[in-house]
Amino acid sequence: MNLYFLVEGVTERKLYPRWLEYLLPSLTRIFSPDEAGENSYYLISGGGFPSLLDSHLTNSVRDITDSGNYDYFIIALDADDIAVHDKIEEVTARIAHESMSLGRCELKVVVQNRCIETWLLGNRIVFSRNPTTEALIQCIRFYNVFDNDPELMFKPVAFEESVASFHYEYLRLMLTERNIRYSKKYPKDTLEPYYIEQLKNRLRQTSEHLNSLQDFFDFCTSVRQRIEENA
Amino acid sequence: MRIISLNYYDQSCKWRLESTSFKRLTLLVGASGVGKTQILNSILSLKNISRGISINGVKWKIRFSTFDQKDIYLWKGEFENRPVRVEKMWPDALLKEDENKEPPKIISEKIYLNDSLIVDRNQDRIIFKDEKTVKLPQEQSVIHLLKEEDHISDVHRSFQKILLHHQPEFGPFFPAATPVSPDKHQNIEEIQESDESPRTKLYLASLNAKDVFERIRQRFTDMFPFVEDLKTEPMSEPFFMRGVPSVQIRERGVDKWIKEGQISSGMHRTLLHISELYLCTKGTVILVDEFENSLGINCIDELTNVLLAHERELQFIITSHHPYVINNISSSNWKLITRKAGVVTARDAGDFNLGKSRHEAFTRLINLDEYSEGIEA
Repeated sequence: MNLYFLVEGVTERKLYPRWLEYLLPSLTRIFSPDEAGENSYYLISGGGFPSLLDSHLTNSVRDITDSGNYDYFIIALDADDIAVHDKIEEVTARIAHESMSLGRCELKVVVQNRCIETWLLGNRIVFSRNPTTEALIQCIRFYNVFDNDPELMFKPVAFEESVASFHYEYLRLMLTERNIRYSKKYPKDTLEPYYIEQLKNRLRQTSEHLNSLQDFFDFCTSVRQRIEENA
Repeated sequence: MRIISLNYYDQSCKWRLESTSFKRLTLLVGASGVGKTQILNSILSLKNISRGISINGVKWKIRFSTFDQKDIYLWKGEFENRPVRVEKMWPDALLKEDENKEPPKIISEKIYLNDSLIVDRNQDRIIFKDEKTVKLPQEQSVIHLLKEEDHISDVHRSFQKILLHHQPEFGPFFPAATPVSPDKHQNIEEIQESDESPRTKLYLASLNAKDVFERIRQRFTDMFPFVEDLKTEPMSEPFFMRGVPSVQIRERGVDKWIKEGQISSGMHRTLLHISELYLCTKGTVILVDEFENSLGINCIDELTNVLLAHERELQFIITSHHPYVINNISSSNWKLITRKAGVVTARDAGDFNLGKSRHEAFTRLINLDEYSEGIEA
């Protein structure tokens, strides 16, 4: 089983490899796409959304067809302000429009609804019920991610940046309250197994929340089962 | 001159560059703050040492060839490291007299020519070609002190060919502007060998090396198709700039010549780059920090091509963060710079697994932690 990941940004470049160590431990990371062996994955970040589709998608498909050994092509990207199914449609339409063929490799679009930080907001043990900073109090007053689905959170009208930027800021403030520093480049604790386990707990506690994260975990489970069956 | 490799250690600030090799074209890539500019500065420091300047705490080893690449030299040395006192933060004029008058001394210095030791110096004596020299100032390099001697003159001349490309060379009120006589250097060889500024060289080329000037003009107008013509002539005003050569351009559909003060910084820099390429002396080592600064994409791509295809015997050591520059210079010419505390390491791209991918080289580069972070804990 060989997987090819094309991910959106710098956080994903850090996070996915660490999460995959935990979620799919039998996969070995390779650093050249032509080295796909028995159970391996290659991961590359496009460094942002428009370029991901405009140039990196084509190059990734070429890598996959050059190799011929990949089972899944996973594109992980933020939904931002677009609905999940529209984002998937955007990617599949682009592949069809450019007449790109993946051969036997299956496409899996992982939409982070709204962004990677939205998923990370799902950890309930780092949520503070009694925040000490005014900024975090304001965030929670606007939308309580402990009780409500983070994927359904938009942004305050007065917040001038994007929804994804608001989710990032909310997460940063929430983790700072727990003395955890978070940045796009250094996502730190969010890479750890305990954090992933807490997100899984959240999905068990509120099964209707964070559907896009659940979809990714389900995908990993199905890949794991296929690897075990083939072993 | 061709710099082959360099080790450099500034003991006063504990900054060390591990052994780094250089090609005809070397592109230094890496995160901000890892020391790319400092590498260029260390090469310039060696040029200064070769001119007799004393630099506290510096220890170095540089291997290089003369421009005809017949002879390979190794020059290594070390200055004493004096504790830096608070006063050193202020200009020399404010220093106590004794500190100002006693620059750091050289502890040791050796020069090898094709592996044979030709200069061996310690704190007590200098042996040049197996003979002890008369007593010479201890704070100055033998390259400066013996620059009239056989072999050392080649070394001295080589180091004077190191050139830092910096931005404000052109522009109406740059500090080095001086009037020049039209017949000061009468052919291209004289112009190239002279120490004149690129501005002056360009002016003299327009008078005395018209074919070379025409090539520069052609290159420049190729990059800026809306520019019809380029000329350089002495200014008549303001009075304090009288006689200083000045560049002017004429755009298509515009009758009047556009004066230098109104030419964009990107066009200035492009002209400076091209002028340097054609008018510097053979064997020049050109250092360019942040190659892309002030340049639009229409200049970056053409200038990168000019560097790649240049037929003259020049060496380029450049830094860049720009995807076009990085993508268009073969990764075999890259040096990926990383830093751990004060120790800077330059490694070949081949030392990292960039992978055989269809993705552009720049994309693969930014996927390396060593590039995106650069500083190891």
